Amino acid sequence: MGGTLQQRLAGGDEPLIVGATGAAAVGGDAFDSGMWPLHRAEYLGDPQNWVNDPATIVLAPKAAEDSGHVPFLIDATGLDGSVDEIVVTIDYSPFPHALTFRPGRAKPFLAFAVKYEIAGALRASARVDDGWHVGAAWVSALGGGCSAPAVAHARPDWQQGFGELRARIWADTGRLRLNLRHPQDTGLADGIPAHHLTQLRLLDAAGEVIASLDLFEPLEENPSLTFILPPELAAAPVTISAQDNLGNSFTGTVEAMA
Amino acid sequence: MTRLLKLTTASTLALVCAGALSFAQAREVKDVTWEDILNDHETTEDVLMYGLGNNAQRWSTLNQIDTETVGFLRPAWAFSFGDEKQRGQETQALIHDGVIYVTGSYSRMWALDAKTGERLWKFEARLPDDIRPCCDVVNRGAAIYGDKVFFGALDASIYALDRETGKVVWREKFEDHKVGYTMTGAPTIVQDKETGRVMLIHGSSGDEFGVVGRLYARDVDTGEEIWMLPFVEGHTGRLNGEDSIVTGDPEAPSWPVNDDGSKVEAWSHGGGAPWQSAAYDPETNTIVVGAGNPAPWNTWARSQGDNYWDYDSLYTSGQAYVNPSDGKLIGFYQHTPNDAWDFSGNNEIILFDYTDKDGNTHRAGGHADRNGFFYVTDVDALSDRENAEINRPTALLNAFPFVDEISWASGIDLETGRPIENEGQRPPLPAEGEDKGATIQVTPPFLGGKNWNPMAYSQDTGLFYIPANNWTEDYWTENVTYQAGAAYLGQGFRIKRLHDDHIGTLRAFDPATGEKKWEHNEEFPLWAGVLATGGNLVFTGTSDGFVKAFNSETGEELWKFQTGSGIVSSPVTWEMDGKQYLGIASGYGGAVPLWGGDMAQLTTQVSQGGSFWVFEIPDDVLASSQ
Repeated sequence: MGGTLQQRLAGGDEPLIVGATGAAAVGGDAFDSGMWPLHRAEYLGDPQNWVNDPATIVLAPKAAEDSGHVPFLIDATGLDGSVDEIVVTIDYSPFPHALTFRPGRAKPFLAFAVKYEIAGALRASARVDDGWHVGAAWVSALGGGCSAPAVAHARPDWQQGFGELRARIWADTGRLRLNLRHPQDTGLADGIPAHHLTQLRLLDAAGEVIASLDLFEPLEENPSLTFILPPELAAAPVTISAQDNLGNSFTGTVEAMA
Repeated sequence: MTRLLKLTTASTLALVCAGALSFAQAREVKDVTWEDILNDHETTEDVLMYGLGNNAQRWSTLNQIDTETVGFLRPAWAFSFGDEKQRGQETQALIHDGVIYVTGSYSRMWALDAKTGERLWKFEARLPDDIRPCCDVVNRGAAIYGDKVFFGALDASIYALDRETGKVVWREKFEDHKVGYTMTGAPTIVQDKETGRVMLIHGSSGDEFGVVGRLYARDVDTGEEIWMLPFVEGHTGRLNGEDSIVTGDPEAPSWPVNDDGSKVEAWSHGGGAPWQSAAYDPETNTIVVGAGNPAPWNTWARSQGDNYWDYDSLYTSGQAYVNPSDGKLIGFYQHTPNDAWDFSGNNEIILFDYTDKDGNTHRAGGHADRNGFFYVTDVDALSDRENAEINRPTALLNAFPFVDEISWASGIDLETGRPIENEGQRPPLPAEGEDKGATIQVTPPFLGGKNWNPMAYSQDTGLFYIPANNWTEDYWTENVTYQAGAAYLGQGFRIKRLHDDHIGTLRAFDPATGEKKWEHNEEFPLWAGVLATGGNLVFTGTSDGFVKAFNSETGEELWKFQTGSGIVSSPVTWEMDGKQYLGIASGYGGAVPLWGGDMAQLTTQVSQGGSFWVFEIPDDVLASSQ
């Protein structure tokens, strides 16, 4: 049932970290979260055809060292059928909807990090033809990640470097990793308005969408995102295009070098 | 194997944000058309322009609230702006189809249900920490067109928001806020008759930091610049992204030269920023807007030795007439040539039908200047495309003082159109080895006989209602060198009282005779806009927190209501379901508490706030009066 890409992580076939989905993935809700039924209704459209499925792998640390940067890896490559979208929700976040990932022509695989307000589960709900396949991981956290000001604001000149985009493609594995300088303000920190990314797309050389993301407040400050592209797409230039809620747009093109 | 990218935020695109948070209250909006805007001054159920119409008269025919019923005026609701970001609320609300669009301090905007005060959405710009507004973190209002509302932010950017959701449709950062550009004024909408293009017209602020004042026209759908007009003579404008027309004479003879023939430093940082809102004359297809003070304030930095009289510092401290097709400056009337006192020329120009003492009628502009004089200018003469001379001092129909004890000039010569300056009112340079010059007293002070807060014109009484201030200042020169992002004044000042019993004075003037029909004095400076209505009423707010209504013929105070903080905003009125409403923002701030010198004794008594108030006549009162 494991994801096909897990062997590419540190440790190979015997990974150093393992899926934390565990008991939560088999019937019921081992995390005993009062929010999950509500989030299912609001963000998944209250589907009847959903299952906890260990094949939707959610890797996470057991405890958050830094509530502003809690890393996750979602690997839905082990699911049968094509994954149309993956909705990521956080049970006890003031902003439950972290992101929606439409893998398109990329693999249904995404690594990212979010802010954690209090300890709880993060869920990845992958939609395939026959319904929603849900994986989850529970992270212990001291919290406060969503209501603290972004680190950038310790600097009065935080706008310098704002919007800087860095990316790299590893052609041998199809891995694309990008990093965007953005404060990702949630609007909860005193006196700092919400200022966060709303959309990010990967485009091929013809300008056609490879994959797209709707992004919301929980995504970490200066977010990094990792995708896996099939070999033919990883061999060509990929354009990254993003927008935020205050009308800024960010664009850049990355290419694996021979 | 690696390619590293570095791209800073560049263009702004239409933001398609599928799957974003849905707003339960989102309501469909009806598009606002150019015809709606052009008729705004005649329609009573909406407020679509800053100034309540392209003529900026701040006049409404509504008369349900009149001298009889005004005593029954009560709050219908109030809305708190919140956020602990209080400061000055200098806004004028827009109203369309039951929704109020109101801006607030720190570049915020709300859409409110006009009936209930319920919040429909809020937008808040994320501002950098190093913005440089000279005179508080204010915003004076929005523009509306189609399905969007537009407003300027303090980091010298302009936003277009979706009226239904408050989400950003586009944003244009038009200048560098670090060197002093900012935006506080309300943009306005114009449809150019020649090209048929609907454009957003806006300026910038920043004369106190030595910016070059610029007026911009943008595409309403994309935010793309159509043209840019610089207000300092000899600077080059832009049209469709390319260098276009040089403003005035390319040699810029109104600015002096150094010994080596190069232009003095001040020419490169000459100010003139059109930071208030433009009016529009549909008959001649002309934008009419005030130009800011020259930079630096220090007159000698813009003179050749003692000779200031040959160097007018064009095109600053005057009123500008601009062709919307290409952004060309057509005509200019200068209120204060080589302005030595920060008198600026930004105050609104109200377009009205003027009948002079001899019974001749003119299409005219009414303007109460910071320098203490009221000007009636000839709109047809100033928008005349045939006249190659831009500076037209003789396009003056009348001028008279509207505040007490003006010291810098004894009057305006109606023949030449130029001020008759008094000796000794240009503050002398520092003596050798000194860092400040001898102190003189000047009236009015740099905050003006009247500042930005707009006056109103009543079509019923034919009078202008001017929210004026009687005050004076100590004034002296200092040495000045331009440094990017630092204040560029070369002047020191301290504002003082002129009279013991009042600063503010609301005054009604006959533009033909210059006769003061009435005045109402206020202990605090007046910093709120005025509204005149067909109910024979004049409304304004006071710095100690009252909304007040006056009889427009006699000046008798008929009603007041305490809003909890000082009022420095502009009132509006509209009609909804057969009922007349009055709306005004409360929240003290603006330039007076920051720069007002001795006024601090007064201004420190005022509580901070930030709220929008709507008033109505209760239904039972209306029923019994019918």
